[in-house]
Amino acid sequence: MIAASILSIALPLLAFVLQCVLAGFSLVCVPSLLTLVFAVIAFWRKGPVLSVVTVILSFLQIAMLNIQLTAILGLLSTVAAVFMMLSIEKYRDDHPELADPKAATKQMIIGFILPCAITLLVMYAYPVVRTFLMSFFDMPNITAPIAEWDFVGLGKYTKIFASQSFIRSIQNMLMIWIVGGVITLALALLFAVILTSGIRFKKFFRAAIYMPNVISAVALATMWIQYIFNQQYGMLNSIIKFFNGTPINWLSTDMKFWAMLGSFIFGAVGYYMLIFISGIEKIPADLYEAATIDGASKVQQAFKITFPLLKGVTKTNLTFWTINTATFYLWSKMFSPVDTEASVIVPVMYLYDTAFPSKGNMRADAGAAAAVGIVLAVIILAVYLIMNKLIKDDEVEL
Amino acid sequence: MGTAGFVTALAASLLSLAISFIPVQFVNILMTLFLVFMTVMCRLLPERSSLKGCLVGCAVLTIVFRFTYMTTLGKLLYIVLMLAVIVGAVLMQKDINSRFTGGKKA
Repeated sequence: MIAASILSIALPLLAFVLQCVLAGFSLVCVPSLLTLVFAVIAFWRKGPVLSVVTVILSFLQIAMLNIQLTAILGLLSTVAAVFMMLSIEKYRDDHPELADPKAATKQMIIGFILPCAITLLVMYAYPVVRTFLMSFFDMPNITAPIAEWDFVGLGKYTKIFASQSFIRSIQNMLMIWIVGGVITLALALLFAVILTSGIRFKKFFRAAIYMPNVISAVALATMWIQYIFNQQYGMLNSIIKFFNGTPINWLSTDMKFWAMLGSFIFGAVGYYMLIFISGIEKIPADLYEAATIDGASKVQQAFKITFPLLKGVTKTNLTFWTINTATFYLWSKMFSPVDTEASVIVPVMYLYDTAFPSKGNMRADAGAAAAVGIVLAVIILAVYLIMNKLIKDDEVEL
Repeated sequence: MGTAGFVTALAASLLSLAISFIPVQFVNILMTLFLVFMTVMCRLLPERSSLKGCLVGCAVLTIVFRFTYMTTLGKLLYIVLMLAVIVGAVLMQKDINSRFTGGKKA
């Protein structure tokens, strides 16, 4: 066991060092480093699960190391790890007193959680921390190494709040959040109540209302722009012309925001409706039966039973709506594809334009873009906390 | 069932080894060589279930990592072969389980 363990520790170390020396440290070196760490722990703890993880990690080395010599070392270290795994199992068989079911379960849990936790840390926590740090620095571009960053304190935050475009984008976002939110959630709730009231063809209507969510938002936006809002051939102007009215330019600067909001609401209602339906279906039928016996009408039942018992679901929908609004980008881009227009600009669009400016004379400012991201995150968090405070879950007690 | 599993896994890993030579892809050769080695080890030490676990894990990693580097036909072939390796490993493990439980479900 000792020989196999020494090899399964030494070979990834050698592969790591050689890879770093020959090609410099990069992401491809990480599996070797992890293999090394896991091989040491597996040998120290004599853990069978840890040794399985070591084998799989060392196999990952072969896939990632990009120099022929180091890849061969990766293969050899994987073979060594297999022998270490087998010898650890044999050692465990020979020493039954080591068998500790609690420790084995713990190892198993750690073994299964670790790959997911590492992925989460690398793919999620790292960008979040980096974005937060970036918002306090000035840098030549978004991928610039930390050595090239200049600390500017809250300079980026003052810069974005002094920008007219950013203030306008926040105003637009608030409009979408409040006006769009009220209309979307009201319509979603109305449809949900109607569809759960026992009408015929319930499945058909539910599918029809949810359908826009299945279609790509780009296709949906194009459909609205080309077929509904088109000044000459659009459906809305055709209806107006039919009644001898004056056609309206729906995509003019004044109307564009409302056109965008209307089409966005059309696409969003189905999603929130489904969440409301699931909430309504959780309410026990006994309550409605008792209310019917007491003489309550359908409308009274909706106001006295359904709505009060939907507080938790409403909170969930409000949170989703807030996130949806804060990350609003695609519809805005579809309605002003060439040059960002003030009427439809939203914070994420401002963020994108700041980080990757399309105009040649504008300088990319990754720090300011990161600051916009942080401001958006703070807004979402604040809204969530306020809603948690204001709306208390009123779960049905059976 | 054990022999069928071994033959399936070995045939699939040998085929994937052969594919990795057209054109010669160094990392593919190393990865598939290891799969052949593991399949043989699974046969030599059938009572070690961790070997089969490792074989399945490595086959999954092979699908994930080779996926971006190949043509559509290559990708499909790799997926089919690696699934065959996984099925082979499962069959070998089932054979061992049935020997311990006398063919009845535990």
